[in-house]
Formats: sequence, structure tokens, C-alpha cells
Amino acid sequence: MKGQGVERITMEPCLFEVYASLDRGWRACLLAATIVVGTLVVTAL
Amino acid sequence: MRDGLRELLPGLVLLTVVAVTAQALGSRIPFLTPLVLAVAIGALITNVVGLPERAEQGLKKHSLLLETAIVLLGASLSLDAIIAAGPLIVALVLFVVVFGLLLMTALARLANLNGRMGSLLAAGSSICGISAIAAVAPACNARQTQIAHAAATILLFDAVTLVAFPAAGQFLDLEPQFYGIWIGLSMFSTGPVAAAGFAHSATAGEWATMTKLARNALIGVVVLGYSILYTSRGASEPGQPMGRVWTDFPKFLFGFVLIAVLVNSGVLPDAVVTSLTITSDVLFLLAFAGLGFEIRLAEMYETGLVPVGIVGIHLLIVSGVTYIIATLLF
Repeated sequence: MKGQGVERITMEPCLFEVYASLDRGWRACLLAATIVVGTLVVTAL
Repeated sequence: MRDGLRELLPGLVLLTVVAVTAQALGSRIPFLTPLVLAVAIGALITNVVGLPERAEQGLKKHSLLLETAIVLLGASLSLDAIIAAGPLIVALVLFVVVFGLLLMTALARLANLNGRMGSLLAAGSSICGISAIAAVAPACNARQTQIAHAAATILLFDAVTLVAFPAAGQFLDLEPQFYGIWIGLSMFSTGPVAAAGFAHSATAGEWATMTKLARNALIGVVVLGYSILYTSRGASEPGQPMGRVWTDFPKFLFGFVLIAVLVNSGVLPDAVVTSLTITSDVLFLLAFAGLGFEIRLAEMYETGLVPVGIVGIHLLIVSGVTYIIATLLF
């Protein structure tokens, strides 16, 4: 059971892998969106 | 992921060091903007000292930083600025940009220059210098060396025009408004335009900056135009599937347009817009430092003086035509 659990976790694609699979233009959009959201949150605080 | 970050870190640190140095020097050296210095420092390091191998992965990320900076540049795109400049200025700007793009394309063909290089030089000389080159580069799928050579050519003329136009303004005893509009239509990069304008007078500086910003506002349209042109050409090549049109399309343009729409519709608070503009400037500085590392003087020597020659001819014709038109209108 322990082994299956470890296998399941390592097979799930992490966010970084999803990001890495994107076209560079989409990555730029995602990075910019993160900056916009982050700036909105910081400004709101 | 940790290994990936470890590979990127040396290059990103190097970009940051160059960007911070350029920013610090830029505030002390007159007429040289931090962007120009960032490119110059990067080029100096790579050509004199050389690059450590472990910095290469991080340095390659400057393209991503550049595209992210362009997306955030949408925050400073103001439709009000274009309207404030007046319909006559807008009409002049539209004419000069279209004329400049067509002229450079024709000159590049006459000189038998690579088509992509011609497009980069056309965008750089007709819109806003190396920012336009960087924005158009992904759209026309230009090689890094072509981007670097085109940027170096434009930077050379930025330096020359920064001295030549104020001297011409003094020699010809031009009125501030006339002079400001003339250099706003003729010179390449925004920083040197503002500097050459304010070197004449405050009024000339304001008109020069306003005219230049109206020209810069066309960057999105020009990038979109080049995207359509190059992707359709790619699709028409034998063996290229139609899907290539979508694959090659620079998707960051969607982000650029979305942010411009959000900002101009007033959805984002002013404080956020200001922060995004500053973040865009910082990313541009990092990206330009990376661009400097792509400049190989030995390769530039091999390219020859053709780009310099045709950009020089282009500048003489465009500044001559805009001078005549401005004389008739103002």
C-alpha cells in the first residue's frame, strides 16, 4: 500500500510540469497574470 | 523542479547584477538610459570575458522575461494619450509608420538582406527602437543573433541621432513644437527622443514625447500584422501543416491586449497599474541585459555594414519626408 501511495504521488504532474509543458507565449501570460493577481492582493492588503 | 531552479539560478543572478548595475549607472550618465546600458554591459561581458557555462540556462530565460514584460506593457497603453495628441498627429504617425515599414522592407530587399532581419529593422526604425524589435522578433520567428544585430544597429543610430537632431534643431533654428513633432516622428527609441526633445526646450520635449508615444501605441497592431504575415507564409510552405499557423502565433499578444483592455476600461486600480508599469520596466531591463549577452561582435562583423547602411538611408529619407510634411502642416 505504501509503495502504491508513493507511486501515485510521483506520477501526478506537479504545477511546475504543467507550466513547463506550455508554449512560451502562454507561460508569459501565466507569469503576467500571477504578477497582476499578486499586485492586486498586495495593494488590497 | 529543484534541479531546474538550480540550473537557472546562476544566469538569473547574472541578469539581475547587470540590470542593477545598468540602473545605477543610468541615473549618473546623461543621455544613456538603463536599457541601453544593460545591453552594453551584457555585450561587454560576453565579448570580453566570456560566459560561464552554468549561466547559460538562466540567461536563455530572457525571452520569457521579455514576453512577460510586453504583456505587462499593456498596462501603460493609453488610448487617452493618443486622443490627446490630436487627430493630425495621429494621422501623421499612421502615415510615417506605414511609410517607414514599407520603405525599410523595400530597402532590405534591394540590399538582399534576410527577410526577418529586414522586418526587425523595419519595426525598430518605424515604431520604438529595440522594444519594437524585441516585440516583433517572436512574431517573425527571428533568431537570437538577428535580434541582437538589429538591436545593435538601432542602438548605434540612437547614439548618433541623440547628438545630430538637437544640433540640427539649433542650426535650423526650429520652433519647439515643430522640432518636437519632427524628432518624435523620425528618431527610433523613446528615451533618446525625450532626451533630444528636452535638450532643445521643455515644450519641444513634451511634443516629442507625445508624438513618440502615439507612435509606440501602434506596436500591438504592427506585431499582429507581422504575426499574420509570417504565420501565413509558414503555412504556405510545402510540408507545413495549417496547424503551424496557431503553433507559431505569439500567444503573449492575448495577454497584452487583455491587460490593455482591463486598464483602459478602469477595472484595475491606479496603484495596481503603476505597479504593473514598474514591474514591466524591471522585466524589460532584465530581458535587455539578456539580449546584450546574445551580441557576438565577431558575428556582427560577418553580417557586415549592410544593416547600418540601410537604416542610415531609411533615417535620412524618413526625417526628410517628415520635415517637409511638418513644414506644410505646422
